Amino acid sequence: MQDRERKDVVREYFEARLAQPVGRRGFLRLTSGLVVATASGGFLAACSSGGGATTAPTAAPSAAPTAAPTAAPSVDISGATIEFIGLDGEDAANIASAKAWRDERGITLNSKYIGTGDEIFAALTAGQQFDIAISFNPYVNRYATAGLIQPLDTSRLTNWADMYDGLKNSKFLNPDGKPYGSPIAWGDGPVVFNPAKVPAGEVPTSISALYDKKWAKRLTMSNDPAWLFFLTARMLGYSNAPFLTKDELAKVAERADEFVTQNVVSFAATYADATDLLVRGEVDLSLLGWEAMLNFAKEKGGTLDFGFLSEGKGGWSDSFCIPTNVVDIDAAYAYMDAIISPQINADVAVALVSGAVNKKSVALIPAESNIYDYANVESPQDGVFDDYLAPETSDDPNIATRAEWADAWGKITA
Amino acid sequence: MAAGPGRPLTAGLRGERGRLLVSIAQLLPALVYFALFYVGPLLVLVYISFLSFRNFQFVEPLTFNNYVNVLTSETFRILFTRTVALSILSAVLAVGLAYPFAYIVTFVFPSRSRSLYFLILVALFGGYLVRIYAWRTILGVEGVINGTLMTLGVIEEPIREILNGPFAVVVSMVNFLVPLAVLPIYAAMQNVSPGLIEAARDLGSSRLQITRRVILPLVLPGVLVAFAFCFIAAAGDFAIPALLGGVESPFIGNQIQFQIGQTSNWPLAAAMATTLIALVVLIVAGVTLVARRVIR
Repeated sequence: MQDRERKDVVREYFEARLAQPVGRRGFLRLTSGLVVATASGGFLAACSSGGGATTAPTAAPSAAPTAAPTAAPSVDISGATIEFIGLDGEDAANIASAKAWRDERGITLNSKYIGTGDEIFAALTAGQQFDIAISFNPYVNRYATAGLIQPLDTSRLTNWADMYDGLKNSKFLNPDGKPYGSPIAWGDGPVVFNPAKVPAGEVPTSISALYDKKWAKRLTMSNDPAWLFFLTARMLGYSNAPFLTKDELAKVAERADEFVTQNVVSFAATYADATDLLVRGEVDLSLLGWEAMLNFAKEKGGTLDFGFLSEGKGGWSDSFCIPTNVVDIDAAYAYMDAIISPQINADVAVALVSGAVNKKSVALIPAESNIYDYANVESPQDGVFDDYLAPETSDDPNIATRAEWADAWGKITA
Repeated sequence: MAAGPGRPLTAGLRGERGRLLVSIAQLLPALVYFALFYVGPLLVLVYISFLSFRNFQFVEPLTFNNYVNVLTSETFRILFTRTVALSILSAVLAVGLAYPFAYIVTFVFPSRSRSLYFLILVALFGGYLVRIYAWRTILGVEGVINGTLMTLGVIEEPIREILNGPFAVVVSMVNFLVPLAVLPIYAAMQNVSPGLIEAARDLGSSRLQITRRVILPLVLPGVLVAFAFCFIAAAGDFAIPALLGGVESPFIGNQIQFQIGQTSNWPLAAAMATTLIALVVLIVAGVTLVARRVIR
């Protein structure tokens, strides 16, 4: 779908939804950062961007896909209780098709909603037991390395074979060659801007354009170095990003310091916060972007638009993962398989304003909601999930680690 | 002496030992609560601050590395300095506004003290984040201040620097802290006998002398408590700097949040937090000591 046609579809989609309430899920996406800020101080970084997609190692698709739209578990899970931890909405608690699936089997969904991946990390580390834990794409490796989640037995997922290759074989999902979760939704991480302040001819298509002084004090972004450092590294010609040497990191940080000092007004805590800044006119463009922000803006009486930067693809994907201390693994697999089944996953995509993960779901999504380009998830090589996170550790002492990226960012923001 | 026929049950509680036992029994619930929900978590925080963070795991052996990092890093020095400076400024301004208000409520309009006191309490009813976002509305480029100035023709373009900087942080913090400061100062002023003020006036003291030599020494404990409340609350804040301070005014709390939320480096964050606690205690103790010497 051409970008122009796609934007027309998006506008029609959001105009059609104008009278609809945001709903509980959207409300909690809006306020999740506020809840965390008041309670304990976590800012939402979920669903922001990125993941990893380089060459797909293995992939082990499992049993041949069945014709049934929902999984028929080989183990009787009637009456089971599924303990879930993740973002409100991603448990499909209020999605009719998922609820019908649960009611048919007498399954109770017991959900704990959180605002950040770190809260999930903390809960699992503390030994709290869940059957399903959401992982945002940058966190899968972290949870797997910490031994908090287990690799999937994809033979237990009848809908696994129908999942887009760019998701199930992505690097972020398979840190050691085995998949550690099942993606349930994805997005492409656009930049979002106010078209009244950014005319058509001035819409930036690269980070290098955003470095220009004409963007002085017109931008917002999340308080996280990863995406800005990655894009800046690509701009400077460091094709090995995010595996930067310490010297390269120093040069990237120096440029990023200019960017933040000159062009960034404030850091947005959440997508809703970024929307608020755009609608109020405090900023003209947000590096932190999600198509749903157009809907948030409509509800505030504003109009926004979105675009993409050429240096990198900031896609996001959230996955169902099974903790190592899972209580009911059979129920976990069954629900996971149900969520990625064609109809339920189509409904999830509409509800979360995201892309579907099952190829058969796309045809089931209403035209006005079908706003994503699925070429982005056809293959890991051409996917939308750039691996933009610095390595946690490195055998090569010259390669800058994530802690060093954080130190560099601390100097910029101090 | 044990209770027995004809002896009241409390007979054994008379005397010094009995009074001590009664005092302990009365304090016990609060002490247990304090131990469980403050001392315990604080000890856990201190323990974590001595761990290391590798591959998303907290590992022993215990080490001082995090504290060395905190105390020698230029970045953290800048953050601690800004945090302390803006917090002290906010606390002083809050107390400076709260003191005359408490004075007026107590001595100028004593008959209306309840209504005025209620106004202060009402200010506390508003949600913390709601008030921060309200300040965004007031201080923003399309906010009340810029809108008014542009309507009056005083400016042609909105003043962007009102928001997203230290000015907005201090204004919002003072707005939040003044009610907290009024309460202990007002309570302390209730113990000032009007007879003392009359006597001072009869002896020829001016209003300033009465305030400086009679009232202030008597309400000093309340003023110091107000300062401590305000300074501690301000130093530990991170939401106001994040939402109103722009990129120029992060506090140490924002860095703590970053280390926990973005890098999961809890040991380093714990070291920063315990250092902040120690710094705040030292500053409050220092201010108390100086104030007691100066104001007698």
